[in-house]
Amino acid sequence: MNFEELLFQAKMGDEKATKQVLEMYQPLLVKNALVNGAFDEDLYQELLLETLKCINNFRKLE
Amino acid sequence: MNKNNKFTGSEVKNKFTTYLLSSIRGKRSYYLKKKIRTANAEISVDEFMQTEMGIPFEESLEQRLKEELLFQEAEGIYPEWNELTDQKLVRSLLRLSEEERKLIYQHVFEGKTFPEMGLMNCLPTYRIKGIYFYAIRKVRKMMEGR
Repeated sequence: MNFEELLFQAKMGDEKATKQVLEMYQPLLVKNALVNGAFDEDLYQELLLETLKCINNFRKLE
Repeated sequence: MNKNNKFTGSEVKNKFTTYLLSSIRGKRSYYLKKKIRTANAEISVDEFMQTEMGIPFEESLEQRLKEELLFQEAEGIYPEWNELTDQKLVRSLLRLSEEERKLIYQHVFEGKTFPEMGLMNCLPTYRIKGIYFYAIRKVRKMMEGR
């Protein structure tokens, strides 16, 4: 399954697909959740929520 | 990229990653700013209790007023004569001559040194000192009556 299909499924509300997308971007989220070298749990949660929002809002421009 | 310099990755994935990255950065900076703002606005309970309970209320009020005065002075704002709270002191200061009052004001509130005051008032330093200390002695004598 390529990424486009996966993203589409996640957008449609498929839990498995959403999980897969989140796993794919986890390193990026963890990296951005570091504050002064320490991992900030709250910030990580915020970023996860933001990612879910992004999945919902993303539209492919034709 | 393959041999012919042609893009082989998923275009959608790239676009989504860019989109995600920019919104994540925005969220991150918003979160950090909020955190700093909250930290600045917070006063620890210990500190609060110490200032409120450790010393009597009047004393703490007096201290706070003094601190405010000092802050204002640091910014170049000096108090006026009629803003002084001690009525007796004000009354005795008002009984001094105009020149003596001016010198006391310059030395006490504006923090000028005697040579500086001498330059400003076109008088030698020893004269300034004489006038100043004489005026202070007068005030002290008048204050003793209370």
